Amino acid sequence: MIRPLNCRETVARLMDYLEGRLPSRQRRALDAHLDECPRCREFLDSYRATPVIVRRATVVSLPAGVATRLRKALRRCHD
Amino acid sequence: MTSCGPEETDVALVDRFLGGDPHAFDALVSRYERRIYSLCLRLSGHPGDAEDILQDTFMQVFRKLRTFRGEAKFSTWLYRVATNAALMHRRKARDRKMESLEQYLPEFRRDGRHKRIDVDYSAAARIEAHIQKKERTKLLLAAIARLPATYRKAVVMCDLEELDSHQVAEVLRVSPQTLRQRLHRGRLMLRGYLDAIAHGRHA
Repeated sequence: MIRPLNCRETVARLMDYLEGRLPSRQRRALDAHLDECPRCREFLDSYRATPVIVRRATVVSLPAGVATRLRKALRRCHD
Repeated sequence: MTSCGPEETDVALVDRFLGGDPHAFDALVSRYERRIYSLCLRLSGHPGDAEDILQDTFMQVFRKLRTFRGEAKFSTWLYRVATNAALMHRRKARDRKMESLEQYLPEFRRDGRHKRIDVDYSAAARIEAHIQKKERTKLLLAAIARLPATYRKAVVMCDLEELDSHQVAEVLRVSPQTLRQRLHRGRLMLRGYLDAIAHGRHA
């Protein structure tokens, strides 16, 4: 008999779950909870998407002016 | 000669610099400046601050490279200098009173169920369809800056810069388990913030 998980316990285990690190009994318990809890299924979707969304929104290239000024500052170090 | 062969390792460049060739340092700068600028921007949330931290990082590296003992990888050492510089810069930065993102952690009832059952928890996953990229960049750079420092460093290095988690643990001098706990909590805060954006409740 697998002890059922509640939402708090499910959320606490999401990272391990997504990375396949949960022992099989805990994984089955978490799957069982997801089957019966739409809130946690929605939560899982957004938890998984979060790093991707934040990464894509904050990708930057190095501005040319920044690179130029960095070299000027470093030349002062050389001298 | 300022170039380095594509195969020349960081260690070889460091050795060449220590042997008296200043151009080897230029090659190290060219190799890492974009990545360190990205790290600095994500840690600080401000382009101006990121530039200051970038310069400070490479100036410190230039001065301290003779003390680099090669016990860690050069990149690990470089990232450590940069994250410390970012932290010091924030301490010195003009007063920015920002409310921590901890208020966006999930809340549960006494029985362990989600406290709010009237919201769509998956809406956070779809904000790219509703918010323009420029606005998302502004909102999320500011949001990262509101993460408590320990969580911010974990999220920025692991999830945003996508560095190897063992290397990040080494940079931050924490155990892999501690890093994972910080990363998970930081993700939960950012997820909650995306959720608040999706529902127009963000502050």
